[in-house]
Amino acid sequence: MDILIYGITNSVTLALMAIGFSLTFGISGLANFAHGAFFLLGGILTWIFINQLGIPFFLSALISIALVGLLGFGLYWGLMLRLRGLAINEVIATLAAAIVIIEVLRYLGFSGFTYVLPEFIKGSVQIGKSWLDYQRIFLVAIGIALIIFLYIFTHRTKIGLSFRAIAQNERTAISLGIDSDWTAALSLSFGSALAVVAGLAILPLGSIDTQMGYDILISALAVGIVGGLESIPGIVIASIILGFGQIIVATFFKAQWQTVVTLAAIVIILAVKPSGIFGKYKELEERV
Amino acid sequence: MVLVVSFLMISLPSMVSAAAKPIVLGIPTSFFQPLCKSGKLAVEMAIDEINAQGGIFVKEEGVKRPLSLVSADTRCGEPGTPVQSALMTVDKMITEEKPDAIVIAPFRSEAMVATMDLIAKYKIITLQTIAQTPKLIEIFKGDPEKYKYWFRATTNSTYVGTTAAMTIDSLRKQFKYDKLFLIPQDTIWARAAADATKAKLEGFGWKAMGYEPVAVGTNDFSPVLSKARTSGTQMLYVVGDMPTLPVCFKQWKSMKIPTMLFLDFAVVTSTKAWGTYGEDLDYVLVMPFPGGTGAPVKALPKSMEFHNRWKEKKYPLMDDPRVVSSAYDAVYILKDAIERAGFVPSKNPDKFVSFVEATDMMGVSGRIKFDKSTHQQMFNGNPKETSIIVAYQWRAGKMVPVYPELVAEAKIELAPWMK
Repeated sequence: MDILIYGITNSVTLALMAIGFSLTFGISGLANFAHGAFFLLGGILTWIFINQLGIPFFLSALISIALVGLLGFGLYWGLMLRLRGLAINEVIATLAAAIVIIEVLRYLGFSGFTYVLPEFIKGSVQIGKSWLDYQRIFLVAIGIALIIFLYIFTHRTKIGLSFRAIAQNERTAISLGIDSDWTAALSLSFGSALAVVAGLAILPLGSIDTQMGYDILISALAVGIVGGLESIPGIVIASIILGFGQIIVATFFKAQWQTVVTLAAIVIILAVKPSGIFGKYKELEERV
Repeated sequence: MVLVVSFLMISLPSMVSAAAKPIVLGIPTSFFQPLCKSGKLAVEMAIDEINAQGGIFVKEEGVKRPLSLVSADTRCGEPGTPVQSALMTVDKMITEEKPDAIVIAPFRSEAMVATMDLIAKYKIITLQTIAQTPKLIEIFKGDPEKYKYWFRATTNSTYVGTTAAMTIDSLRKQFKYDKLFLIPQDTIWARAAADATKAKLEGFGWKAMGYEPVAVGTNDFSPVLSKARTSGTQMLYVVGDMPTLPVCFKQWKSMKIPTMLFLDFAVVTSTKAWGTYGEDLDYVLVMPFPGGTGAPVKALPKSMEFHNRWKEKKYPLMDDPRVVSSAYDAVYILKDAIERAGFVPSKNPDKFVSFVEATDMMGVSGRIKFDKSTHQQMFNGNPKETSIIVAYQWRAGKMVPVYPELVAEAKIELAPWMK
């Protein structure tokens, strides 16, 4: 029972970490290596609003999501616009932005174990013979709600449809009057905001540490590589594979091998299907 | 006229003291580490207290000399800093700032091991209060004459490991527990700590039901905690320092794992931890070292004074209280030795060594004495004989001393879901 329950929570945690990264990449083709830094920044901003300014949690969370979303938007207009299409330069620029954010936060002392976000509700509930804390239940609910929201958003709203149009064929989308740069900037903004949402759900489980800025990026990349960087269904499937894989390996073998699951999955996927399970980014090249 | 003479008689000693050259203490350590930052504050607190009384009376000079402090950041507690860089910082401090003695000293054991030769080269009395490695004693014993200027005025990993094992073993006597499950972070130092604890407890008759190292960065401990539950263990020993470790004790509580938990994790050994983690810490056993550094202990009067003064100074609550009180005590050890010797350490370090060796005074952790054969401060379970290490149990926001029995203020209580 523990394997089922914690396999699900672990899978949803991984999906939350990766979904913003995937959304941005899927729409604009931009690999946002500052994704982990935004996750961290959102957590720290929320902590500051709650503990230094006395703003209630949910308002703090909304302000952080908005601010980091704006920062993502600003990152596109201020920097990425000039590098559009130069994949390596985009990676270097976003990675540099990540390092600046993370290291400035480290310099300012946001390291260690002091910074903890409140759980939505404390306590746990018994499911069969297992116990599960409410925070993880919320986390799963947020994860599922987010995936449903993204589906509806990209299929039923004007902005969402323009996202998909750009993702499918940028030139055709432009010819239909869709502003490609505006849409790409929005996608980076959305992806950044989603990183904060993930942080607000995940961070109350432990404490905030600047190192997480790098760790989250690696987890998001791992899920993306396995599932297909631009594919939301791929992210879901990859999260389930990795999430359950980690729990099963830790349960039936040794916990220290948990990290090997992720690395092994990346190696296998890159060898067999470099675009990932649902990825189509280089599918044609792969076939050739 | 009478008033003038009276004024001169009252103010002359303090005027002399104010004019006297200060005795300079040097702190070369890594201020990136919270325990080093707090250690420096503790030294400053001791210096302020001593200076408020006019300083230290140096008999040969016939004056009270105030203390002053110089510090240098060795950065050896930051990832990637080479030992050589830390050594250069220590060397520069000794040669340029010319301190009369060193307190605290480098953070990382590797840097401290390398600093031993600098201490010997410059013959500078050093009361080292951080690095815990037994290697330092080996080095000292290798050439006691050369390394005689070094003293470890705090615990070492052997004392810490033994006390942790004895604390856990007290549950065998109290609850007839004898089944242990160990979860070390998968790093050399944490595994070494777990191995040593396991070996000691097996020697006491405990049975290890599991040993599950977890990778650094693990953010879900449910698989190992489930294993612990199914193994039928009664005691969990968790050791590490990674940022995701709080997830472990939070899950221990939320999953209602029917074991007691001994957490070898510095962050939760400070009274500040309750403000951060709150009731998730309830019933967890912790052991900041040496005794009295994390929270006051009634049987250690100096620990009460230490924490009261810390509050009066309005210093921030400690993030990591380990060995902070040792830094405070180190200043008083020097004061005591200077007053007995009648001269400052830098004047005749060879001769001064014997005065530090003869230290016998009360400190935060009990009676401070050094083993002359190792220059290690001595620790056992009786604060009237030597210094001690104290284990606490978190209960409703308080760290309650529960081991050793001589200073315990309450018995260990089982977590409610175990009853």
